[in-house]
This record gives sequence, C-alpha cells and structure tokens, in this order.
Amino acid sequence: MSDNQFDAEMQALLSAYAAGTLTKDEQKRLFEKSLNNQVLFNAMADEETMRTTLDSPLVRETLLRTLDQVKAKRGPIELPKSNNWLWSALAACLVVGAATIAYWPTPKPETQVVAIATKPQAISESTPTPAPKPAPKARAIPPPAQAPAVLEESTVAKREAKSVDQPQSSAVADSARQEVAAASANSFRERNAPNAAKLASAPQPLAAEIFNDNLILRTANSSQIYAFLIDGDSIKPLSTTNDSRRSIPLGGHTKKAEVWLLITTTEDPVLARALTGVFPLPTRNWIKLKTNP
Amino acid sequence: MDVLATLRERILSFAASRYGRQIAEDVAQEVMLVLHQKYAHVSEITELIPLALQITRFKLVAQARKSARRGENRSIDIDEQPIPDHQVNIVLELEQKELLDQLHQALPQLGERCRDIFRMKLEGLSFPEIQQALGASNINTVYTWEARCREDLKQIMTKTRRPQ
Repeated sequence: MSDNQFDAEMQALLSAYAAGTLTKDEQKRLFEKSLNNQVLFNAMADEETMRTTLDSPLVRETLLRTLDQVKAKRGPIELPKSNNWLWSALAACLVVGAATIAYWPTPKPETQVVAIATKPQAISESTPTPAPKPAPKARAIPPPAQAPAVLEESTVAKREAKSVDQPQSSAVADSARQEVAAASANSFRERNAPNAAKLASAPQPLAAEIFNDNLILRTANSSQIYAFLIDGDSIKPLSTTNDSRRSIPLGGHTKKAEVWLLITTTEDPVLARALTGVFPLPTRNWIKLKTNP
Repeated sequence: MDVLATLRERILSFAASRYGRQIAEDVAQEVMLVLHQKYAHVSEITELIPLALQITRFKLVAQARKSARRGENRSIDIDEQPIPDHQVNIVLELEQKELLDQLHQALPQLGERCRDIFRMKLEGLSFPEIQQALGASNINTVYTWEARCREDLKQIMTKTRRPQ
C-alpha cells in the first residue's frame, strides 16, 4: 500500500510534520487520523528519519544554501525542459514577425501644413487698425501662464518620470542603482517571507560578546532580542530582559556551542514561538557568536 | 488508556510490516514500557504520538542491529535499557547523513514552486503562512501543491538512491 491512498491534505501534513511546521490544529488532525489509519501511521513512522534530520538548524542552513545555489544557477526565467521545441518555434515566429514589421514598405506620410509664417505688417500710427492676429508660431508655444493646470501637472509628471529613467546627477544615479541591486537581491525573501523584510531594517547591536559564559549585549531599549544557544543538535532559548545592557547566562554547553542572535525593531512571531520552546528554528540573518573562540 | 492500546496496535503493525512479527512484539512492548516508566505524565496526543514514533525508531534500529549481529531475535532484559548504545546512534546518524545526501541531490531537480515551498518550510513557515506568501486563495490548494511536491521529491530520491 502506498500513501497515495490518503488525500492530499494528509500527505501535505505528513510533509509538514517532517519539517516541524505543523500548527496545533493540523497536528491534532494528523495524529487523530493516524491512530485510525495504519497506512498513515506507517507513513508517519517512515518520516521519522526526515524529521530528525530536518530538526537540526545546521542541516536547514545547508539545505537552504543548496536551494540558493540552484536559484542562482537557473536565473529568474526557467523554460520547461519538455517543451523546448515549443519555445523554439515561438521564438522563431517572434523573430520572423519582428523582421516583417521592420522591413514592411510603408507609404511616406503626407506633409500637413500646420501653419504658414507671414511677415508682420507695419503698424501705422495714423490709421487705428485692429491689432494683428498673433502668428501661428506664437500659438504653437503658448506662454506658461496661459497653459492649463492639467498640462502643467502632466508635464511635471513626465519630467519626474524622465528623471527617474535617466538620472542626471551621478550621485542620485549611484544610489538608485544601489537600491535596485539591493531590491533584486532581497526580492525572493521580501516576496515569500514577510519577516525577512523586517530583518533588513533590524538594528545591529552596539556591542555583543561572550564573556565568562554570559552573553553581554548593549542595544537600544526598543529592540527585540532573540538569542539561542546552539549546541550540536540541541537548541536552547536564552531568556532576555528589557535593560539596554543585558547579561544573559548561557548555562552548561560544550566547546563547540554557538550563540545565534537576532535583534529586530519589530516582533517576529516565528521566533517568539521558538523562544517558548516550539522549534524548529527558522532561517534568519543570524549573528553567530562562538562560545569558545 | 484506549489511546495507548490503539497506539500499541499501530506500532506493532508497523514494526511487523518492516521487521517481522517477533521483533515487532518486542519493540511494541519496549516502547510501551518506556512510555509508562519515563513519560507517564505525557497524555496529550500531539506529544504522545511523536514521542512514541521516536522511541519506536530507536528501538527498531537497536533490535535490527542486534538481531543481525547475533542472528537471533530475543526480548531484552529491562536492566539493559538505561545503558546507552552508541552503535545505535551511529546507525541513526548514518541514516540521517544518507538522507541529507539524497536531499542535496534531489532538491535541484525539483520544480521552482516545490523548491519555494520547501524553502519556506525550512524557514519555519506554517501552511497558512505559506498560503499567504504564495497568494493561494485556499489552504487546500497549498495542500495539493505540497502533496505533489512530496511525491516528486520521493520519486527523485528513489532514483538517486544508491543501490544497497
């Protein structure tokens, strides 16, 4: 019997069970059903190796690195392998179409007379003739004061758009380029992990060190601090206080143990859960301190 | 009590399907013994079942190893239990290492959406959070995607598995 015999929901829950990301409600549904379904129970038992493997934060880090490398190799656009002939045909059609449009003989546009410039007549002082009509040239470029407000706004908008597209100042251009580069680098995390965006604005600690088996921190009072002692496969949340200078005892640990630290301005719900002992520890921009440097 | 009885039946059937009836009887008995002696305070089903599965896995590896070494199946004296068996840990670690190698080989072959979902799970996101991140209208859609991805991953891992 394969686990195709239970529905997609249970298969998904099994997978999340292995990754340790089930909610309480999902856990209850899965476990209750597994007690009444031997196939599901066997599948859960078979997931034990996966669960214990993914339980380690170090394993998660290495797997995430693998995924990052795949993403970097493949680039943003990925064509399906099985439909290569279809994409080739489509590309050929596009090239032919573009060439046809480019070389299609088009009739020359007829010249339209927009305005005829005439020599202004001499004004005689003796004969009060009516004022000559303004030349068409003057109509073509109205004075700024007479231009309608809508036109002004659209012109400003166009000017602004143009200045964004073609920045004049080199300093502005540099900063824009830097912003675009930073945005593209973080695009995946911003799109898929809402917490990652918050991390980008996380303040760095003014001082963080390990001294006499204590984690010493000096940060702003408004910061949220998440600190964990990673000792092999075991993860221990470190309790923090609200003082700006904090001294957090590490407790017993081996020489290889590390302290993973994250300081944010806003609360991170996943890390808040982890602080209460609900693991696994998610991937963040951790500051890693060795307990025995 | 009913839960424990059902749990014992499930463990017995699982172990019997993998290692034969004799080992299964011993393993189920030992798991129930450990649950009774060390974890009598655990009654919540959401804690009890993962705990039982973990103990089962440990006991099964220990039993299979001893059985293979001695060429016999036997029940183990309770006094023997508190002694840690480092060989078992080595077997478990090897299992994990092999699985990790398979994952490293299989992940690049997954589709983009599957890789994204796997990444989000590694980052600790739950299904409702994944639903929000992927913009799926219904949680069942995410379940279906995940189920397909799981099937794909299993198939790829089966292909890349080294011959025993």
